[in-house]
Amino acid sequence: MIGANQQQSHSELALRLVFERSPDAILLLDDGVFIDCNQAAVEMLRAAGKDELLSLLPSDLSPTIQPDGSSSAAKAQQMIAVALERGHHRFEWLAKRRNGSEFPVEVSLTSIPFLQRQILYVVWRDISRRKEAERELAKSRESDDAFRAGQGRVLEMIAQGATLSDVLASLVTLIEAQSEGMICSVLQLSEDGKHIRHGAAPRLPEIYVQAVNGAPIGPKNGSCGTAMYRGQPVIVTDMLTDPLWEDYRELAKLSGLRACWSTPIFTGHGKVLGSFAMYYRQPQAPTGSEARLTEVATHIAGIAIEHERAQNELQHTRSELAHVARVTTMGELAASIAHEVNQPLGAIVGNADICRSWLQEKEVDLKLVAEALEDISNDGHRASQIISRIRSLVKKHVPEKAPLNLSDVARDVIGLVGHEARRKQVIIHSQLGESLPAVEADRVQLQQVLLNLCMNGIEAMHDTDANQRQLTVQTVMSNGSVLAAVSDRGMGIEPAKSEQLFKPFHTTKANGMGMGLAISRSIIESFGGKLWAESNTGGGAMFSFSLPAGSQEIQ
Amino acid sequence: MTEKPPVVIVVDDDDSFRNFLSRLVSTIGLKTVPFNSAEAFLAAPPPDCPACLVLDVQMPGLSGLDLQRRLAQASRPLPIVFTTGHGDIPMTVEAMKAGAVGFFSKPFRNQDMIDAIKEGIARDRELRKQLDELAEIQARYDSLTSREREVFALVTEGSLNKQIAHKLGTSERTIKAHRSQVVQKMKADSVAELVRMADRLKIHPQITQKLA
Repeated sequence: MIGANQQQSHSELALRLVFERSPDAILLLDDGVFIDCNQAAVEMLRAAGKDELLSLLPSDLSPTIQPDGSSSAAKAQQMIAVALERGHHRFEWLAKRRNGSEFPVEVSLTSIPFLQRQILYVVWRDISRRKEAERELAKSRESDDAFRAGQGRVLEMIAQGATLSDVLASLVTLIEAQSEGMICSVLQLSEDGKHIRHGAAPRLPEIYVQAVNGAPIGPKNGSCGTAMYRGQPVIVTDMLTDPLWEDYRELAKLSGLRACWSTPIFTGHGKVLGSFAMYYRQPQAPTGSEARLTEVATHIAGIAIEHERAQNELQHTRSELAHVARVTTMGELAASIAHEVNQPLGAIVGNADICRSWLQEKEVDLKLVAEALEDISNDGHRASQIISRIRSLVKKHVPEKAPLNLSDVARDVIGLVGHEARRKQVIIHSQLGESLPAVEADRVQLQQVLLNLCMNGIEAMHDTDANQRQLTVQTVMSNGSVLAAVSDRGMGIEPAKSEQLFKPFHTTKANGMGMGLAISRSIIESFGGKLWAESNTGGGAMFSFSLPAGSQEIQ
Repeated sequence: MTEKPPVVIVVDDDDSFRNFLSRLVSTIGLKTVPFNSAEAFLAAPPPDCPACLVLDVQMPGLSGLDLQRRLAQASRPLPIVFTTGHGDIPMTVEAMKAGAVGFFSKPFRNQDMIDAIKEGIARDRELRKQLDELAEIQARYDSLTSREREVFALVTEGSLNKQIAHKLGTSERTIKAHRSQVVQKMKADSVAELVRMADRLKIHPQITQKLA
């Protein structure tokens, strides 16, 4: 049996042990002075010993100012007051070790009655780790957000029609920013499915990019060539030893690359479009965090490449359609073209005949012969110009953007429809602006649009009095755009129907296809412009289009 | 009175073709008067010499066929040779029906054009001669008194003096005097010629009217 005294002293000892051995720092505060503390408190605050610590005031254990900007002394008073009033108070605090270093703690104050007054039982828990983890988490959330925003920006670029190489370069740069020391590239598979085409690799050495561009794909063609060939990811941890790199070993050495992990990029239907690769300058295997990046990269690259291919296809179809429309227009112009060519031919044949009979005479006036020959030569050139103008419109061609002077294009077209206008007794007035800024467009397609508008205008005046048949072709600079307008004196347009005109297969002509205006509008829009119709104030219709003015001025 | 030298009027909006036609016309020793539109031609005074018009069918503004229609209403319709870069049959038919001398699609044989121009000038010369004669007869007729005109009308109808005197309520002698005045003023050798003159004045009532 142990006595009550003994029992009490056991229990006190136990309490003392709990106090002393607690991993949390515990201090007792009596009226602003520490009266006791445990070993954990001494260690946490890097005090020389318990005596040193007990000689200190709470303000010695904090920086002057807390992170929220309040003074430590004032705030400590406030916290103590709350604890005394409520019995308990818990808050975060910035503490200061004896060596001056600061660290965050969670402070718990408990008011305890002791010898007829209240003392405070203070527990300090070091929350440096927790704070660190919180900061890490916030940081990673931030970088996640930045990564997602970056993806959004790349998708935005695709939607806004940025070039594929710009989109892919931005994508590669975005992925590279997510991991230190990583170099990325996107490659495309050629349309025939046999060769590698450069996509984007802003940080790969030029020599490497050059060598890969155009290389065949196959079962042993580096990481990317093999990945595209197999339709599966290919992980090469060391390019200098992997058999897949046997034929490209030197290139890898020269470019200072060691690891290359490549993943195929697929269409929505599972067709290989290209590959996305991650490179490192040391032998390295993926750790897992790259998988998510690769997934994002191949997904977005797939969208970008597919988008571009669809755009190209559309462009191709559009240009085929435009070509058909041009040929059709030329068919309508056939009679005029025949006349146009016969005009110089008539003069050529006639002048040649005259020369021949002159040469049969006894006395030949060589000056007259020379003049006639000069005329023959000029007319020959004229005929050939007419033919080459027609040829360029009828020939198939891939539309190309180039800086153009809209007035020049208008002159070409007026030359082409000049005779059709004469035939239909239409007088063409041209009011073409001089020194207009250039527009970026395809010459033949712009000619086609203007040709179409002129032909429509001439056609629209079929029932107009012969002396009223006037077609005006204008080009002017207007608010940062270059504007072309073709006005006629025909029936005009009902305002409600002015948009209907641009619908495919809308026609007022007996044998019209109804595609002219629809095609014209799609051509103008493909160069970033607008095409619209309105009624003239003086009767008749006016069709106008505007194109963004380039910085260059073309004389 | 010697005749003024004939001219060829060329109306064509194509400069080089006009030059060629001038050159061609010069090879037969004739002068050209060029115009680049039907309107310009109409604004100029009509030629006072034998002339032939070489006209392009298709021109801006008034076309060649329009001009032909206008000229047909004139006192002296000029003979027209048409040229075209690309003619169709209905166009040719219309032009020829309206009295064109020729219709040529470019290119054509120079000799054919020269022949047509020569024929056109010959036609115009003939027309001018007839118009001059008619004007002369008309002038003589205009110099008759109203009584003489009545006698002229009745004589050329084939009425005898006696019948005329009865119709006009006068004596046969008076009619005889009028009749000799008429013959003298009209410078007719015989009644037969007087009848021909009356015929021409009536055969061309429009022209008669216009010349009156």
